[in-house]
Amino acid sequence: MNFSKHWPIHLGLIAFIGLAMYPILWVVALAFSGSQDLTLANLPADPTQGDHLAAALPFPERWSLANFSGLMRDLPFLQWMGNSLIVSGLTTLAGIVIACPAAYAFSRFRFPGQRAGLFLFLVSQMYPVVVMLAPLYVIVSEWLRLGDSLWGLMLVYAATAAPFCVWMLKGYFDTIPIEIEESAIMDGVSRPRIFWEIVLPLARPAIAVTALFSFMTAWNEFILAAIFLENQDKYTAPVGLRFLVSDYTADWGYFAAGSILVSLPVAALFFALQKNLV
Amino acid sequence: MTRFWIGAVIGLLLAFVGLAAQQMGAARQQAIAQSAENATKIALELASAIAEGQAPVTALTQSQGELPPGFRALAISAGARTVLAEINAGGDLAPPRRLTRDEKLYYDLAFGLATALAINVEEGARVRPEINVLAGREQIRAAAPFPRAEGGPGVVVVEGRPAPPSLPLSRSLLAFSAALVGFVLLGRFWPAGQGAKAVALARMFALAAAILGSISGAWVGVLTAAIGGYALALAIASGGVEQAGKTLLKHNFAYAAVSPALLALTLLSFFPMFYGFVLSLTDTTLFNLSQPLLDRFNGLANYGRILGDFQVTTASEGRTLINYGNFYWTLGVTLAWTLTNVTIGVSLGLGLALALNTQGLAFAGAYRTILLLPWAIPNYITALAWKGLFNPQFGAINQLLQAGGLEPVSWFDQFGTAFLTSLAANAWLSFPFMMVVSLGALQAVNREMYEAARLEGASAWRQFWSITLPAIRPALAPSVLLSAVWTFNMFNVIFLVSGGEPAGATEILITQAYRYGIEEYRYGYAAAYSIVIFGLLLLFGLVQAQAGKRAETAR
Amino acid sequence: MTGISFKSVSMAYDGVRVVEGLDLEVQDREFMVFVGPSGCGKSTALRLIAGLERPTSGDIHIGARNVTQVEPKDRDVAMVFQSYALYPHMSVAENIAFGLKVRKMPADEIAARVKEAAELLGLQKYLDRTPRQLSGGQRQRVALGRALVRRPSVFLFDEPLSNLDAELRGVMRAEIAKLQRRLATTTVYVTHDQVEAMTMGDRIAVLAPLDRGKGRNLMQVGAPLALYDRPANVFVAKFLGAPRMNFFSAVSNGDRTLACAGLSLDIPTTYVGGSALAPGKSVLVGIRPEHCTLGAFDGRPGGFVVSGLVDILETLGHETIAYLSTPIGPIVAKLPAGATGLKVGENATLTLDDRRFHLFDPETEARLAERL
Ligand SMILES: Nc1ncnc2c1ncn2[C@@H]1O[C@H](COP(=O)(O)OP(=O)(O)OP(=O)(O)O)[C@@H](O)[C@H]1O
Ligand SMILES: [Mg+2]
Repeated sequence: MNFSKHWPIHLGLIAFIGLAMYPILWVVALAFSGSQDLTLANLPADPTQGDHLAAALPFPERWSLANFSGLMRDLPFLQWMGNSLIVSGLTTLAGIVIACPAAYAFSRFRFPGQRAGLFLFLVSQMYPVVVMLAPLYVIVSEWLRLGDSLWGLMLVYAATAAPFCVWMLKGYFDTIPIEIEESAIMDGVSRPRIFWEIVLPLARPAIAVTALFSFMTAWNEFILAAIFLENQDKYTAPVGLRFLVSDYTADWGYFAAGSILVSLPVAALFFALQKNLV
Repeated sequence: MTRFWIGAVIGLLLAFVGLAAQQMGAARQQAIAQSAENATKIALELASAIAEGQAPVTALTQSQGELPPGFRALAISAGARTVLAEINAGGDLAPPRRLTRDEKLYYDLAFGLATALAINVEEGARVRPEINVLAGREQIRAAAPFPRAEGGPGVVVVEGRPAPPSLPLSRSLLAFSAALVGFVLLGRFWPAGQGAKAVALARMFALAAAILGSISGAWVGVLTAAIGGYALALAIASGGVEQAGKTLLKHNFAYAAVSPALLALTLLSFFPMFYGFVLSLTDTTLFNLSQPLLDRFNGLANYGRILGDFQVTTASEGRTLINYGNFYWTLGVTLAWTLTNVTIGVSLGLGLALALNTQGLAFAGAYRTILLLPWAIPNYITALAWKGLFNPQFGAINQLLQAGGLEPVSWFDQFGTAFLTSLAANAWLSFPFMMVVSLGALQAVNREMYEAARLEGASAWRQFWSITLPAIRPALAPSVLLSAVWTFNMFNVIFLVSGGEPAGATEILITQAYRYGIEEYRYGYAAAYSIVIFGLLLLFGLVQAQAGKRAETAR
Repeated sequence: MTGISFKSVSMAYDGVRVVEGLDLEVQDREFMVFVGPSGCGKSTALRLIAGLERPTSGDIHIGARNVTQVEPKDRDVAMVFQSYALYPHMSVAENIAFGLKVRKMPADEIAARVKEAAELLGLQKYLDRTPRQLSGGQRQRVALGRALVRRPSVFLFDEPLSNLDAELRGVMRAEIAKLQRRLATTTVYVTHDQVEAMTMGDRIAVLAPLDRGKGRNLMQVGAPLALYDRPANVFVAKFLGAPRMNFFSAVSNGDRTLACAGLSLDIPTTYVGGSALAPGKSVLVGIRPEHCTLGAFDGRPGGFVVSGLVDILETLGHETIAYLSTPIGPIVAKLPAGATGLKVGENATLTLDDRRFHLFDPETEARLAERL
């Protein structure tokens, strides 16, 4: 390998990576430090410059799994992860189930309202959910009586995921040659059956990617969950983690350990999917 | 001649409707006042009973006494359940529980009334009301305080729905007259030559509406039903319904396929949008949510207050202070936030992409994968971690500064440094996206162009500006715009890192809307704020679409 | 009896008229070719037969049945698409069997039919592969197999060979024609390739886009040679034949001669005089390149001799195509390979065979009346 040929570039990249990886290493170090402190070494009352450096270097004084075990023992962290899993899973399922037929219809049929409908789906994606919080809260908790429930959260997630899924899937359905379906029509296959037996199997990769994206979105969502969920048992992982380091508590060790556990699956998914990102 | 009579009859009927409605309103008002008075009396009695130690106090006690039907009474002692108390009681491991919305209301009431009591004692006069009474058409609530030294302030709340006024005569008359109006109007002004069947149907509809109305007693219902019936009949007569039915049948599969998604979206996206718009025209807060919408209507006042307030700075004692809550300040911060972030993101991303795109670079794939990591981590975790890094006391960044012999910085005490914390976090999590996009664009550039340029003797710098940049611009532009919109809406980073510190100075529009709506319970104001944000985004989209079109025609 | 007939069929896409007043009969067991330039509505006409599009007016009959409102699946037709439209997620066998399975045919009969089709098309070895694992020609055969296992009463082909290379196209051309003769199934075949049209069809229907066909699509129907020898109008004359027919203007002298560029030429004896050839009327004269010979006056009286500058020479080995600028306009001649002595930039003389002139009315572009 011609490492020496591009040495200034390598040097620059490695320096940048060192800088960019620092926060991650720091979180990892916190997680394995076994303490709840933000500093990675004990700061004496009158610290020297060396003490400060030791407190910031991403190597804990001693390695311990106490934060991980504490997280499981002292906090309903597993339940939070479970809640996240349930909500994200159901969201994905519901999103895909309602988006697939809609995307197919938008892609394949010309019917009155088709363009308007697609436009509406686009607009709803432009509108950040955070600014709809107040009306959403009233609708979900007052009218649907689904406040403080994973179902309510799932509903909101699914509705916000649906436009994204519809657009992704429509884009894919558009690339399936229409002749394949026409050929099926000539073979005497009914519309629903064409959708089910021809289109869906062909779109399986696209559906998988879309599903994983909406899963990740739901898994990473924080603010809606923080507003809708009130009972600690119902927290999703993001809400739980956030309240570990709020104004009232600062369990940085637990937070770091939890962050790693929450990030690992999505990071793995992310790297599996990175080819489809752009 | 007949026209005169018709006009006269209609006028008379309208006058009658108006009169009846007014009468009904007065009667209802009276009923509400009566109920409120009752509730207040009960609340005061209960409060003094508790103060004298006759009634037991626990949080959220239900007591049914001689309450009117549909009412309930609660006694809440605030101190027992505050956040701090709970932490102390449950040990420091229990994460603090936030108040539920109902609880929050009662605690606010309790503390508010306790403060009023204290002020009145201090002043020696009743300068503040010592009871809180809400008298709405949908809800009556009376709150009376009771002092409790050890448990914190307490409050007795008596709440319920007022009894509906009973005015059967005017109600039936009203419904009947509405029906009559519909009936006459339909027979009279039916467009010539438009199917007798439809007329009959519309008349039946009007009658049904009248009956329905006289049962329910809501004149609004009668009117809407009559108008709806008329519209329906008109649609049938002009073939519209038949047409719509045919269209539905013809495209049955398409409509069936689209409807679940559309339904979900309508309920949880378009309707909230619409409802948000309606709210933006009211002065709705948590405390008057149960009042009828019309009573809360305040027109464009919210928009006026947001957009019409140009007082970005105030002079006080010779110093100029910035009003951080001012819309234009926040807008400026948001634009600065977006601009700096996009600039940083594009420069970092493009720079890294150029480095990684070097022909024959060893380990390019490995570098790329590692550099993608910040994108893979949930952004709320990133934000919270950066918040920790910037912790003024223990955060790693200040530790490093001190290790270098520098003074620690109180990051969140000034606008500039607080802004910097969010900027750092966002730059960290957003450069991989621009890097991937740039790399893709760079790899699509035809290598032969560089070779041609080299033959002509262009320097590397020259090649970048004259060949690379123009070549990747079309591919980069949409992503840059997309990342601009993302940054504009980047709630999590601002909310979790700087949290608007100091004093809301680093708030961006979207977090500000959240503060107004969710933390201050000013739903109407927050809704108007959101609509303004939406308008800005829409404007941006339109400008962008126009520019795109122009670029296309220029090509 | 499964002929197909279009009865004044019109069709528009979103208000844009594509087919207008189409009247056409396809006979039972006939191999009919639709040919025409791109965008002329060939595919649309085919899809109207298939039922994938509905006419905006007019009727379509298949056999004795009016199928205008009948669903595609109930029309008993099979179609082969240009892109083959194979189901990518099914094996070759499943692709071929799918249409039968949908029609709930017993499994053993399906198997028998698939086997028969595979043998007929030489696909036995590939039955378990997916379409991705096949070459273009093999995919083409699978598409054919899928159509013929159903034993429909009508085959429809939409440019089935255009994705194949030249050699394979020749092979498949012959194979499809042979297959059709053997199965004796009424077939409509769409192409824009005139070689396919001329060689495969019993009859050809030449279609034109509405703007060029003066508001009609159908320009002419007939046996391939009939169309070649007697194009009914300028459109057909130009469309069939490569290089295409030469045209020049002349004026009738009224005595069965035409005047052109100061010369006089005789018109073929088949043309009746009539008003179109009254003295002073202008006439559009067409002559195919192969009916132009090199040299002045080949010893036979009546040839029309023109001289001009040679612009381009295309030497193809077995023949030479010469492009000349002459006083009557540009003329292309198809000359024998040994057409020696010709040089670009020099003058040459051609004799146009006046028995082979095609006369058209310059206004209507229709062929002038003939006595045959
Ligand atoms: N689905 C459609 N929607 C709108 N216009 C269409 C559609 N399909 C075809 N057209 C238009 O109708 C005209 C005829 O199309 P058609 O596909 O029948 O042409 P064609 O003769 O088959 O051409 P080609 O040889 O290129 O396949 C064209 O002008 C085309 O633009
Ligand atoms: Mg076609």
